[in-house]
Amino acid sequence: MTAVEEEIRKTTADLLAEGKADIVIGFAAGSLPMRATPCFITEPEAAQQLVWNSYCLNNLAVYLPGYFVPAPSLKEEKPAPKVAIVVKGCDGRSVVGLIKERQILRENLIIIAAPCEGMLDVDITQELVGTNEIVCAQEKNGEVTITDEMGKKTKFSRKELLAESCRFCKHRAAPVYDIAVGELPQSKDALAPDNRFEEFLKKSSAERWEQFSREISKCVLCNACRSACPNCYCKVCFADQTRPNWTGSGGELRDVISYHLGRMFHQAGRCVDCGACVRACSMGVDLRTFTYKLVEDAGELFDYTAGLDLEHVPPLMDFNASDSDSFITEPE
Amino acid sequence: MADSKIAKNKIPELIKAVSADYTLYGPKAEAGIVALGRIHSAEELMLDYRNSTISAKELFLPRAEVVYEFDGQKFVDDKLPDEKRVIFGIRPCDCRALALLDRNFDTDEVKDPFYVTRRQNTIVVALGCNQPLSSCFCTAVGGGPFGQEGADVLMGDVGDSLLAKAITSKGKDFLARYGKFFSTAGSGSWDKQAKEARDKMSAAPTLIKPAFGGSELNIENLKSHLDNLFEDEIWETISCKCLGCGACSYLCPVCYCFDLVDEKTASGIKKIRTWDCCMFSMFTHHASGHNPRSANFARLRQKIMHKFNYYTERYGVNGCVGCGRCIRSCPVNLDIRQVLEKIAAAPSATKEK
Repeated sequence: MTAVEEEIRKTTADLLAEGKADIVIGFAAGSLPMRATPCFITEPEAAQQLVWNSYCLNNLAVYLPGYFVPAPSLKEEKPAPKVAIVVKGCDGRSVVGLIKERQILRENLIIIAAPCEGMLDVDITQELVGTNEIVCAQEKNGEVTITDEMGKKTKFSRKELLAESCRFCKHRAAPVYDIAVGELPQSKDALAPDNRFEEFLKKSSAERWEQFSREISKCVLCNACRSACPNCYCKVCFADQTRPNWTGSGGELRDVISYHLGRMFHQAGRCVDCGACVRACSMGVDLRTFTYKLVEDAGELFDYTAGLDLEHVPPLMDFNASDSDSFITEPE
Repeated sequence: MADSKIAKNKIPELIKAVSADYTLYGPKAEAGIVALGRIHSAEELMLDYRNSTISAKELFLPRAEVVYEFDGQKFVDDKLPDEKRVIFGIRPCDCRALALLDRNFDTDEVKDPFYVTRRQNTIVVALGCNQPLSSCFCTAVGGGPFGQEGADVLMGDVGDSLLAKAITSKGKDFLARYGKFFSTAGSGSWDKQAKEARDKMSAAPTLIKPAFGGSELNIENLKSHLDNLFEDEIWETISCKCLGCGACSYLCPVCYCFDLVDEKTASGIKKIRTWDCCMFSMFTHHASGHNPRSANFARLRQKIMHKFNYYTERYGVNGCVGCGRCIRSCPVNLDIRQVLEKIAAAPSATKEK
């Protein structure tokens, strides 16, 4: 157990024991190699289940709105619980976004910022290892030793196995927090250049549309991207509405396109590039190239980066006469 | 004992001959996703795959299919699917899933014309699983890496050749029709491979077994146990981390729930059947606005109950083949083996009261 893990366990156990938190959202060990799993703790003793390692990939902020929206079946208004949540940079930024959009109550939150040097992605690792299944991974000084089912060991540098969103992440520490455990990373540099995205930017709009349509055609409309996204908290998603029916039944490419276009444009200036949608997708659709374009656009056109502070008003919540509208008046 | 065998270097010829007579489907990889897709030549066929990312369900229950079209005056084009197909190299878990779907779509009372026609028009040539994945648990739910349920022909990979055994008369006809590619002399057996695969599965630290005292998952016990757990708080605990996405159901080879929607055309409508999923909040949303399963825990309960209680009650078998796709695809690592383990360990609600 690392010192950070120990500190998380102690901190959260204390919060629960002292009644400062009703529930703690963190990570527990997963059932598969190189996986951790979201974990919900209400008793101090259970804090022993919490882990902090290189596999804490999920964006835990996705669970927060549920605690502050009463289920439709609940007639009585229960007071909102006090929720402690362990966050990396991306979860932390999502939490800030949700506070600004008034989906969660800042005063009921205890944000525990944990250090993140980028999380490792089991699927990327498996692809590098080949057809033999990964049995375990051991990490030491930036080097990861993978053992496969045949007992073969392969060494990788940590950087090779990073999840895509982590490789390009520029905000590895939560910007707003109440308690910090360990030493939060200060660096604002991405760990690798995002060549694929640069390639995408060079394309003409017709070529981009072609890439978008081709990529999206893999989608089976299971909606896992939406469910994994902390920003997708709508009580009824436009894709589920029947009066009117905004998207088709899924028999045609246009149905899939209208779902993704609708979902993505709602992400402008809100997406923190955590990669939850991409990892949730079992069809391997590269959603990130397109959502990251919106991240860049929000920065360029509205000078806004999602979730960095509680003060700046997000572009979709604001209007100024001087707002950029060149994307309407002078489209490419 | 297998009926015959085919040397692996003869497979391209077999594929060519079968393709001339049937539309051929088999495991192939495209952009990292393995699916049972259209095979045009043997190079596309990927027989050393572990299991496909997507199951064969889509070949029998398409994700979206026009049930009928009405042009405002009359019904148009209500032909049934008539493609004669061979699925070559499908895994036994997915074959067994077809046998389970048969119990629902091809019964004495109800015969789904689309499903039944596709089943009748398809020859299922399965390939035993020499290397099950650690997330596979077919043996715990009544199947096996060399199970033959749902298959017309079962093959086994024994190195330089594939052994083949006819399971049904359809399979027998298939092997007879392409007999020139197979040799019947000294065809041998895949017992060794089947045993190794089974041993591998039982040696792996499976999550299910300990909960049932070291024995294999006892489906009868699980069913009666679930009878008493409907109102239990366990569902809220289990469903905490569930995102309510449909990845598990969409990849499940047995989940068959569907929705019927009307889509407007220029002068009439198309009635379209699409996949649905009990994890979606709109799944049981009534026209009145009421939703009997308004909370996530009730939806996850439905999923488990349908597979391990209702299916068992109606058809005498549970609705899971242990392919492990839901385990591998779950974005939050909600492992169905752990769910079953928790359910098995839960004190029975009625006994408590």
